[in-house]
Amino acid sequence: MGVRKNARNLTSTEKAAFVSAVKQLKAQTTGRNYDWYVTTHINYFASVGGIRYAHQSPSFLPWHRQYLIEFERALQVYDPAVSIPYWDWTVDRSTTGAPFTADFMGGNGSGGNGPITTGPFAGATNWRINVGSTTSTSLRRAMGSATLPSATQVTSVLGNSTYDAAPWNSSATSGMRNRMEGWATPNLHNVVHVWVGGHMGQQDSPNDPVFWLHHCNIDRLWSQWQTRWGFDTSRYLPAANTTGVVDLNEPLQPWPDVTPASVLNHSSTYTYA
Amino acid sequence: MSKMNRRDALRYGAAAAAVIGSAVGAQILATSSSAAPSPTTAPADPDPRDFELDYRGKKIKGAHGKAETKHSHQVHINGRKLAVMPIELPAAADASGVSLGFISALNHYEPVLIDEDRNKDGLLKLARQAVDALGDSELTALASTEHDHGR
Repeated sequence: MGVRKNARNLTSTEKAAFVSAVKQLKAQTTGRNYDWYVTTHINYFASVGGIRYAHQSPSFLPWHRQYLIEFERALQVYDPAVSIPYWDWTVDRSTTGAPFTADFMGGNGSGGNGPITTGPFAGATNWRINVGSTTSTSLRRAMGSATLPSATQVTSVLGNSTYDAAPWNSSATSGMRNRMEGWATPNLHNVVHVWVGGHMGQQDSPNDPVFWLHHCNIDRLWSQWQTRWGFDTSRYLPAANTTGVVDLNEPLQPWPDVTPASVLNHSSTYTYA
Repeated sequence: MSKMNRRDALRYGAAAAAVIGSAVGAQILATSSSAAPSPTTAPADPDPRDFELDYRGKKIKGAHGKAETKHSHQVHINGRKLAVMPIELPAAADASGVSLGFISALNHYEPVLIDEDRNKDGLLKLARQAVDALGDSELTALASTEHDHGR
């Protein structure tokens, strides 16, 4: 079982091991390599077969939980000691501090919106964008055009005891999920994509490895919500018979054997430090 | 669609839409029929909100959806198509129903409101943001693919 740590607390060795495993998955030429994860996110951002899996839906949280578990397992093929770290943006709010240091994620884009110039993912030779919405083959960032969520806003979102509510999409005004996802205020998830900018603001956002650190933090916050309100299946909504979304016991494609119910309790797979 | 009564609207009024632009002026679908333009027999009539101009060294062109396709807005940057997709959002705090935002392949987590009133420049704002994100790169075919966000 893995322990997911705060990125700011990783040792130099742990940071190097994560970067190395990510780059090996990127270099993999067969199977579900790094670019498979980029493409899968693009495909499942939209509805597939009339069902919204990854976004604008209750399964936003369980879909990304499974997505991170799969990605983490793929990294562990190369280094069993690696876990995904999380970026707590209520604490680390600088464009130059953790995790945007030269020994980890690297910094801002050149000129404020161009290719990043520092760190192991700077430049197309180190990290080539193969599946992108723009012709840029280098990873880009345009940091700071929004305000990162505050600890107070996190507390307010986690205080919603109801998981989600009709109409179960991006217009839901009640429940925790749409506030966490960020189509309703306070916006926790979306605004962080906007704050990083560049590839992180695009449909192909997993091209930026900080995607995983951000979503690890979102998953950690859901885990905190579950600790407060319950890990049991009754806490996930909708339970059944709701069209267009993934009910409690319906498959989370593209993983046909996984359901929201099966990922609610993550403690046998990983914990948060 | 959710049917919110007045009590619910007050109760959940704090959950305003997290969008760019003024939520107060957002087009509310529930009342959009009264705000819709009169049917016209001249399909060539340009929408006064349409634009074709240079911005930061790139040619941006925007055409607003007409009549029954009024939510199918078109944006091209240097002649390349940028997919623009509608997404339902919570209504403004002082309204009921839903408001309609738009995201693009490049501005995927930051919906803009587009209407004929306070947010009439929404599509231009979206196009400029896309150019800001592009920098010296151009759109790829992937950016032109529209997809359904479950309206």
